[in-house]
Amino acid sequence: MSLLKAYHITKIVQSGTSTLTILQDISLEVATGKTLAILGASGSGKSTLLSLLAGLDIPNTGYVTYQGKNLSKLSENQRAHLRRGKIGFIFQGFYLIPYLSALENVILAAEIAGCTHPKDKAHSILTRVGLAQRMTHIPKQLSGGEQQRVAIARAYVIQPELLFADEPTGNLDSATGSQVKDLLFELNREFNTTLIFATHDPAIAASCHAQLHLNAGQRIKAPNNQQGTLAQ
Amino acid sequence: MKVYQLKYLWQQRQATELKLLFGSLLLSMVIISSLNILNYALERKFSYSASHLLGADLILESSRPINEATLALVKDFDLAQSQTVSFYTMLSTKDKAQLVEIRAVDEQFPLRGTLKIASNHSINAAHTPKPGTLWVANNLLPLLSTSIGATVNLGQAQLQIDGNIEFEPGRAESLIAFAPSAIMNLQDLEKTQIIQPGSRLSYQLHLAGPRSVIEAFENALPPSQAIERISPNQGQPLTERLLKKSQDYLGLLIILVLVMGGSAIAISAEHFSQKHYSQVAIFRTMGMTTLNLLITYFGGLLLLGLSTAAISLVISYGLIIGTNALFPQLLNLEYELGLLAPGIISMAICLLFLLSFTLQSLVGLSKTPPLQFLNQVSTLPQPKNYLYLFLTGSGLLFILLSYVNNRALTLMVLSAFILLIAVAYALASMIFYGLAKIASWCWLPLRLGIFNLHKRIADNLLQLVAFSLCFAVLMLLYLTQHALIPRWQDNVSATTPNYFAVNISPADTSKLNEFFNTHQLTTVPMYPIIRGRLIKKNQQRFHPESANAQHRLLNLTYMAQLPEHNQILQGKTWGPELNAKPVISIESGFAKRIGAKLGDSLSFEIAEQVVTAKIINIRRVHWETFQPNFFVIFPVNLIQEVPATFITSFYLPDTKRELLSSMIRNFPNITFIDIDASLKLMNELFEKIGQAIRTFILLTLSLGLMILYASTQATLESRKFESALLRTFGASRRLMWQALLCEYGLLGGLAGLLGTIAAMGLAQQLATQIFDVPYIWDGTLILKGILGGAVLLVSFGLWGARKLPYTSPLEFLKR
Repeated sequence: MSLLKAYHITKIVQSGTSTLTILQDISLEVATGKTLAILGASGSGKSTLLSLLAGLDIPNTGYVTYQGKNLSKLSENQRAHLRRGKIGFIFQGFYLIPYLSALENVILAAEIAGCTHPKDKAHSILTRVGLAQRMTHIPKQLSGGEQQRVAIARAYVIQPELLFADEPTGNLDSATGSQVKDLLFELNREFNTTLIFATHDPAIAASCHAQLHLNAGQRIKAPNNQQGTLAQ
Repeated sequence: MKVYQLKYLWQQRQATELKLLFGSLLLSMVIISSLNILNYALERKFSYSASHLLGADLILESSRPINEATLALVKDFDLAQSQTVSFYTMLSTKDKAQLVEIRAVDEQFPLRGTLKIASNHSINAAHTPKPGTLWVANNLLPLLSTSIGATVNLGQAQLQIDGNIEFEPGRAESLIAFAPSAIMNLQDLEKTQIIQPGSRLSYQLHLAGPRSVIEAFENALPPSQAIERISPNQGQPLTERLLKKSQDYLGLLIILVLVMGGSAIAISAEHFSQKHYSQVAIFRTMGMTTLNLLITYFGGLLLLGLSTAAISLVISYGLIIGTNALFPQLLNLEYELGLLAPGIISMAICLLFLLSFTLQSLVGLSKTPPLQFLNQVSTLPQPKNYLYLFLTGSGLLFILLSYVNNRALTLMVLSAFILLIAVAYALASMIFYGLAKIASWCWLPLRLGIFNLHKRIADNLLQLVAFSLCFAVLMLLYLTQHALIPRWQDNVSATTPNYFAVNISPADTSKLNEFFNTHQLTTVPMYPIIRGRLIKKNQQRFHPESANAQHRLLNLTYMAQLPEHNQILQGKTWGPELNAKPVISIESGFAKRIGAKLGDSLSFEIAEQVVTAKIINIRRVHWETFQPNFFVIFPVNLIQEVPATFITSFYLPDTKRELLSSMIRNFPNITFIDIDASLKLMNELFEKIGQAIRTFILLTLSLGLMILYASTQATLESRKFESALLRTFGASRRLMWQALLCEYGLLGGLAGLLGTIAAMGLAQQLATQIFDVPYIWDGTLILKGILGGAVLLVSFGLWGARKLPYTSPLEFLKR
């Protein structure tokens, strides 16, 4: 069954006196446990599409459904309620809370989601991502790769049904990026999480069940003739 | 509020902006609570001193013995009491007789203050003369050609003169005395057989007790025309006005501190919000709703407010109680429940104050959309919501109006600040844009400074408004301390009369003037005094239960020209052309008390005749001049046929004190009243206000510095990145210091200019409205303001940004 569906979504923004079409008529469908890579150059609309799929914003036309619920019909607070404990995020810039330790960052996310035994869960997921020795360190004391692992642990501690990752390896060197990518896919298999990436990284795209290529807000065929399929 | 929300807030306790928020709130609240408690204490101290001058906290006066019901009520309230009976009678020796005003007192007299009696070359505090003896005013002995130890006849009794009255509480209360006074024991009254049916007597019941009990007693006492109430401040408009002035001044300090504290809190809260937008956006992606966030932030704020209020109260009470214990003469506080009230009010105000000034920022923060974060625009400020600005303004106004009695003053100061904000904003926008246009011709560091000002125009405008406010407040305090109060003091100190001469017969006026001239004593004109009772307004008798001031006997006078220190507020000028016309001029406070306005007619009973006259002007009287002042003035030739005595006041320097005995000998019928006690009270007040200001200027200055620090910290983050960038391009540290110097110099100079002009405008208003002194404009102050602003801001700005030129470019470019 499809977990997430987008029906002909378009996003237009006002820029001064002119209007700018960021996304035009995008439709897609993602089933539970599958992975989708959204690919495209900078400014092609990847992050905007991700924000619309996650319900962080709503499209001008068309709509997105999550578990059959039309997100456009919900208020921001109702969408926040829907996200709580079910949807996770991982960002290119990590965005950890600077004065909280790795463990506290993860516990906070678990507590916000209303998880039981947040400390135990945070402990276990941080161990799982290989940070058992770094739990008490604050972000400043961690390397880029370690910070992204904390961000992954923070996203997975709630065992989300759906996880969005916006350029998760964009700030990392290729070796560390590759480790982070592997970790994400391992966890995806372990937790049967649906994963949607916005990425430049061909290695990530290749590991996904499906790819969707964007160019200037429009869906195009894969440049290498690989058909952008929907993850079924 | 859940545990994780509390934990999250607790984790942020080290954040600079939270420390600043806590610091500015704590400092504001300590100053405000202390001022509030001090205000309360001053009021108490004044009543206390005034009670000492009166001899009681309340006097009930009647022409008949005080009735049983009233005495029972006094007993119910457990008040200390003392009874006296006053009357005029003749005191005689073998050869001479003299009209005297006798006061027969019981063992408890006086309840407050000290009766000072001189006998056998020493002055002692005393309560009541021994039965069979009498104490007399010092001018009575020459009048009777007798001395201490002699026996005099009073009615059917013979009493021995046992001492001279040096100071008698309550005596200065009525400046008019028809005859020298004498004090006898109440037990001897009966044997004098003076009290006969029809005798004109004044029975007084003196009462003393805690203020709250006295107030409750006064409320419980049914109004009666037969009993007149005399309270310590009544009939002492000077004391009342001094108290009001000091309260107005403390009120002004409270307004200034609230405005500054509010600015510091608002800046810190805004800084806090700016830093937390991206974190809130993360919380939103995790599913936290606006309500959750509002609960988190406002819950934290409530905890911060409560703990700050509690700490500030402990500090304030510590300060006040400590001062009271170390210098008991200074405050003279009585520890009753009343003292808790200002503390509890401060606590509530603390929370409201904090809420008002953080509302806009925290609501904005809680409404951060998660999208902001994904689009990497997380530091964009939230659009301002005018509803919250309005709520902040209303909160401040409510706090001010509940704290400060003088509403006109509050509104004036607030309007001035609003005007300052608007002008600062408009002018600075123009100047920043103008500078940006000419920047390309400027010296490189100056150009960089101008670019910085222009680039962060929104932040810089906010900083400028905050600095200007800060400067206006500091400059206003400076001007008040150095220009207004000294001038006010000059008005009253130098040769302010310290003696009144009353009961001067028309025949004595020229001789007394001659005496003053011979001995070069500073004096004021002699004014005629006629006793009269106000009975009707616009032909309507005053209601018997209305305020007793309306029924008091008044000292009326007549004159062709108003004294110099009287200023006409409403109505026509006063001059010889009004001679014999049925018109009067009345004092503004008196007009307010009896509810009279221009054009009303008042009727007086004067020497058993009724005189009705129309009010043609209302005057303001400068009571601090210590000159004879009158509530009601008639023109000449209207009541002139009524016999009058004359009154004047004069300054007798310490070096000429010995002249007093020669005056008493030469003018035995004139009563000389020493008002040094009142003058001392006033000097004491000046001292107290001076001390309060000195302490609070320091505290307020630290609050101002906190604002400067908070504002410089607010832009530090964005500066770090730019500094790193400039360093990457090879900019030298010297260039960066110079650019910072130019930027803060320009900003500080402009803030100094605007703040000084605003302070001067306000000082001019305060000079006329509170202090009654002329304000002299000093143009050099503007220059000093510009320079002071630039120096202060450069020092603080550079200190706040001291690490910028030394930070490694790599560290920031990696971000």
